[in-house]
Amino acid sequence: MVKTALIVDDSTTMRQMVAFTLREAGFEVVEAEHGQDALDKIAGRRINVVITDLNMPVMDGFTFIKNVRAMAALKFVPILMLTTESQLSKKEQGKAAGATGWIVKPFDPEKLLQTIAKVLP
Amino acid sequence: MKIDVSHFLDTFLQESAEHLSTIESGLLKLNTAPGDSELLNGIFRAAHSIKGGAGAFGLTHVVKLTHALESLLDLMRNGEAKATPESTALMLQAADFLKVLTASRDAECPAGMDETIAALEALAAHTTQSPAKAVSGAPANSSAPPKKAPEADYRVIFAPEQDLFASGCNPLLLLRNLAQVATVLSTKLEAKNLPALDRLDTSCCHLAWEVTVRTANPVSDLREVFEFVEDQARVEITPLVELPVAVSAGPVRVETAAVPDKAARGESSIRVATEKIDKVIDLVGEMVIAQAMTSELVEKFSADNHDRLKECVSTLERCIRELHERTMSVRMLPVGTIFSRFQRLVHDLAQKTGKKIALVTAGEDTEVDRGVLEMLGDPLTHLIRNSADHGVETPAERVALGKCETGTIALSASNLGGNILVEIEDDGGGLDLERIREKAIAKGLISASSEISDDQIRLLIFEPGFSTRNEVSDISGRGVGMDVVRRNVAALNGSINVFSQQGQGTTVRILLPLTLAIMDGLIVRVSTHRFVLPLTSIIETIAIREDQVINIAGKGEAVRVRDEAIPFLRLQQMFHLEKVSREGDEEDLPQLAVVVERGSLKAALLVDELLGQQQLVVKNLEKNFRRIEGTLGATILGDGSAGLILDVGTLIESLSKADRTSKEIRPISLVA
Repeated sequence: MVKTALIVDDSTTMRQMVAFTLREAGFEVVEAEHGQDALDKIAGRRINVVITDLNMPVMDGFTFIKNVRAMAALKFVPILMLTTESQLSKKEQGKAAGATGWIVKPFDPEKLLQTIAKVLP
Repeated sequence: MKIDVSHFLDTFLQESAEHLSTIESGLLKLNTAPGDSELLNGIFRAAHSIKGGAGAFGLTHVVKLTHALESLLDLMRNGEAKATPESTALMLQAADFLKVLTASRDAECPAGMDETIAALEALAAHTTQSPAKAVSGAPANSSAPPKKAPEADYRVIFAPEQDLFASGCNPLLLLRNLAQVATVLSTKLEAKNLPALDRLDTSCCHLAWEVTVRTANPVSDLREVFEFVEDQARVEITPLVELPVAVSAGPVRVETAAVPDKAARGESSIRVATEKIDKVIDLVGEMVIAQAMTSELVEKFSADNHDRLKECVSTLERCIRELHERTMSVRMLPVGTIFSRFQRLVHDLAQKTGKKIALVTAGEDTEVDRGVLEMLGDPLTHLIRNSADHGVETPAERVALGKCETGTIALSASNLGGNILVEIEDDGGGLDLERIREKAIAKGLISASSEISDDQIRLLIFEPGFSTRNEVSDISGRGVGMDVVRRNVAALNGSINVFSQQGQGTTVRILLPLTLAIMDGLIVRVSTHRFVLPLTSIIETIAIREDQVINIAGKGEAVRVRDEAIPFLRLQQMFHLEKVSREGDEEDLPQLAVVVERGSLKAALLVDELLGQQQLVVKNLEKNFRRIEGTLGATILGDGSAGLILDVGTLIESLSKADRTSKEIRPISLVA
């Protein structure tokens, strides 16, 4: 069955880079510009993996992750946050919010797919 | 749509600067710690991060350079290449080029970079003896270069916190990922925290895992599996490696590693079967009852209950004897615990000497007192070294002699009466008695004119400073071994014997008492003093007449017993004690002698009276007083006075010495 990935990032370039890679890898991709946008788009949809940036307007990554975890259907969905090596505290904050793991920016497409494979059942 | 990566390029350049400073400081530290794997991993990760990012941004020069750098670093962290000042200098040069390349968005390719890349590749190729890996612009696969590192076993404990599921983590996935980087040998599920069904919260993780894996990948790969759950779980990755203590290199690594561990633990504690302890407690219970009865009988003592009192005392006696045996059995350990370490010793010795030697062991299950076992290690090591170094011949010599190319050293243990017999047998050249004799004469241990038996010649090898080897080898041959062996064995109240057939091999037999602390002894009176002879060394007691004593010129006295001349020793003279004349003393009255043996040697000791047999607790004299030549220690006799325990071995040896006066035992005074 085709798996659906949700990519949440306010940066169009980053979002499209990730979306491109995932589509190439056979995912169905849902793109959202920020947390609230994502929550609106995924309502009632089956999502297999969430990839989200942390610094976003309207609703930041942490709040978004907490909201996703509050949804019964997505309670255990793997959530990867996009972060940079220097943001160690962000990793902890994200984990506390309910993120499964992280991808350190910058990353190459292979690393992205590897990391997703690591958390995707 | 064209992907604009400019925003990330700046981040990348900034991060590269950080990574480069990590690389630079790491490389400088590498000069003082060339094999530091943590350091190498750190440098490698930094280079890898730069390469990964550069790939995403299409910076091919950076990718090329970091790839070459990474290849070399990977060889180094796998132990296939060693960091040298030259290679470090080259890597630092590469780091300098990277600095230039990542200084700004539109940095020019600096001159000389290709040479550095080529030099790095050449260095990596030289180490692997294979052509340099093709440099490709694509970073894919570069993170998993082929590893030839030896496989190692690890124990991975993964104990997640209850809220693990809340972050979307799946333990099953982690275990699956672990199985991808390593071969899983065993998995143990820890479910003791699992609550009863009615209180089970399925959104909580109650389980933990212990996984044993084998992998050639670095431990960091195992750690990476748990990267995302480090804060939500207890993750312990312990290498299951052999301890530096030499043990046999058996097929199963884990098992051999357990041996020294067990031995080390044994220092402070012993594992005892509950059954043994229960029996001891039973006996103590019986003793308490017997003691209470005895007390009561003594309290209300009358001639009538004398018999009952005797009965009680004999019950106590039986209990104590049994308790002694049971308690001693608690201290018993199988000899195999020290045998196992000799496999490695023989292996190493064979390699060092270029010989082919097989060690065969037997009777590993023979149990012996822990104290005896601990003191047996050194003598056995010496003896096995001797066999490997002096005994077993080189393969060429063996073939020339018509023997099997591989020499055999057999190490065995068995029970023999109340003793344990340890034998070290080799099929080497045997002792060269003529050479030993010559050497002994040269060393002044015996005089050239003295006629001594082959048995006595063999005993000469136990003399301090004796060695027939002209050159000292670094394995054995300093002549310090054998007298140490004898001393250790004597300290254990044991005996040592050498049997050898020239050209056929040598057998060393060590006979040891099963336990040290308590022994059965015969109490004898000499003059006004009482001495104890260990029962295990006594053959018989005989009555002799003065006319049976014969004087052998230069060798002292001997007594003829059933056509055998046995060296004769008057203990009263030996210890310079006053001669106590007996009632109605006549010259012709039979006197008492105790015939004792140690190994194949015998002696008859003249005593004044045999007083009886008793179980004795050996007290160390050296600790409390000073060492007295010819004694093993002292004991408290039934009447509360002290008695010296005679060391039969030393006494016999003093008799078999060619020159007896030099070894005469100094007078002693004993205050009870």
